[in-house]
Amino acid sequence: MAGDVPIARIDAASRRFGGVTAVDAVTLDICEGEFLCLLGPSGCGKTTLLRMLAGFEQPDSGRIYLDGEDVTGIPPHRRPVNMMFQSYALFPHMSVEKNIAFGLKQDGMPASDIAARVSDMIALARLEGLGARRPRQLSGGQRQRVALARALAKRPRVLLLDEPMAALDRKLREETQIELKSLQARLGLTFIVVTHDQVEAMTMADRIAVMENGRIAQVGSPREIYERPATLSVARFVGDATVFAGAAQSDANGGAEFLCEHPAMTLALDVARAGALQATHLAIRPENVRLFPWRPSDQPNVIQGQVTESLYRGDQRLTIVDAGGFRVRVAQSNATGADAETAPGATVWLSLPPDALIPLTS
Amino acid sequence: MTMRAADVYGRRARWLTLAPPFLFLAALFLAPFAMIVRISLSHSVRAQPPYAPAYAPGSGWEGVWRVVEGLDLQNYATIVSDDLYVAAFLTSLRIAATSTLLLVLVGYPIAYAMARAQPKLQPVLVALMMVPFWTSFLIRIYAWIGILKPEGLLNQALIGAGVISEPLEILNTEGAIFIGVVYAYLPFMVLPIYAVLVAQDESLLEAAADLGSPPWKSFWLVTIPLSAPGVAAGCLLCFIPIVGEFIIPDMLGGSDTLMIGRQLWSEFFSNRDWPSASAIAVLMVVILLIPFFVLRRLESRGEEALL
Repeated sequence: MAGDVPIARIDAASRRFGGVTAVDAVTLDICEGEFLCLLGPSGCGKTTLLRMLAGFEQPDSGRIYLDGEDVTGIPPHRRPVNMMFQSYALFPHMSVEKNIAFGLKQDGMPASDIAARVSDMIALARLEGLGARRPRQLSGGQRQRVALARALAKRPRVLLLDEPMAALDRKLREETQIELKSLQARLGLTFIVVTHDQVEAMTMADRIAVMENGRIAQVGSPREIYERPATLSVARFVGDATVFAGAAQSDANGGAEFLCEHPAMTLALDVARAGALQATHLAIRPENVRLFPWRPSDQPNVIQGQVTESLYRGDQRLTIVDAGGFRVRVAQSNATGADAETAPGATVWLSLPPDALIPLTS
Repeated sequence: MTMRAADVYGRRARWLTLAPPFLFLAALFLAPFAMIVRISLSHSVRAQPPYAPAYAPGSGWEGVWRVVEGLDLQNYATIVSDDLYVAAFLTSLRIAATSTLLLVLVGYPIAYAMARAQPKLQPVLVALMMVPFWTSFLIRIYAWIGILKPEGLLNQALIGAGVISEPLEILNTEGAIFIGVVYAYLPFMVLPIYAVLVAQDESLLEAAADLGSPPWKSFWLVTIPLSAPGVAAGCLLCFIPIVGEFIIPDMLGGSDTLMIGRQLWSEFFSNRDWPSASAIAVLMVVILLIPFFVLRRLESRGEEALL
């Protein structure tokens, strides 16, 4: 991760399509050996940003640097990065081997070296015995690995991956996420992955850059992004959250409290949390809300409500509680020995621990 | 039980959907072709019908037998041993092959430009490609006489521009046939190639560029090989009818261009030799089936490779 010069630097880059600003003055440094995820909903500009690094889009303003060198305006075939495409873009008229060898041939590598590198890549991507097949003769997971092997064959210092798991089913996706992460660590390469799947981003990334409306809303480790979201939209997009609107103020004891508009109530806040006194919204993760079938005497921030829905999700259950017309989401473990399920209609009490309330300003 | 009922229903439905095209082909292609084959095995006579043996109406199975007894391969033997026919066949094949090559060279860039044009513009370009079909084929070829003749538009323009001083002899040469054929068959070459190119996944070219291939090389390594099925279809659509082409060589090619379509026409209409004309037609079909099957073979092998 060390090194004075970031391996890739996006400097105030903007890209407009007609009247739409897809990428709006984004500045981002990517360190060598880092696994960075660009996370955001569709249309947030994450793919355009990736394509600017690859050279398929040129910024209307701003610069792109790779390895300290200004590559703005340099066409893709002369950039030292490789990309794995969402559709994989495998050449249908070429065998797996020829697909993997394509980039090496363009570099004029001697045939014997190409053969050696291709067999390395085939072993790396666990494609043994499939080298002579055409892409159409492969399963979705195999194709994905060919695309990865082809993009890695030239040993790019930065590998760009556009939604690499989008076409895989859930089970395979989880396995592949772990594989991709360990591969990146083993090879010591820099990976920049575009994804709209927050679980995927959190599983793999060293750092996540959350994008919305062409801008970067927050950059940080998965834990920072999840536990300390910088904006309301990051809190809503990454993970599940119940959000209360209102205003924060100091309380009589030098602490902080939050006057919640809906449901009308006052919540104690953790004054040590940054921005606690400026909060216009509070977010709480469902797993941090505590649910009691009776009124607890020793808990802070207790509100009463009625269970409207109880959804069984295997490892956990999600209970939706109506508190004065406001729906609060509560996640509880389904581990053996966990509390009994609460049926819809039951009256329950919720406790919102102050240190789990995330202060946000809109 | 339900499975079996569905099976029976499925089989009946399949026959119902397959029967109309089969009947259509049998009635409008196989039956006439059988008649042509039968006439090609007969002898030319001055009578009505102009071939013998003819089936005497009302003679029953005996009559049919008498006809079958009288058939032989005499006409085929004559055609194969006659240099004139052999030369006409060879000329037709050569002209068709050359024209098809020219059509690929002219048609591919047009199809490529169409496929790369703005998506909004593409339906207009396709429509423009079809516009010539709104005018009769005969009239369009006739118009080329006006363009190509010694005092025609082309020579006037070239002389006017000072490129040449004497009018070029184009009309009534093989060159005029090539011009006419390329003009007339261009849509049949352009449209199949366009259809393949326009469906091509653009991310393949991006992948090639990403892996270090400059645009011209990506075109050569990705675009061209993947458009081969379209080129093959275009070649088939052009080559086969050009071999049998009659109107273009007759109107633009002058009297000394021997093409098999013209031979067939003159046997049939000038000499009223139906059996010889039929034998030429049958031979032409057989010869044209060869490139068709070769291409199908190549295509299926290519598809296998692509699968």
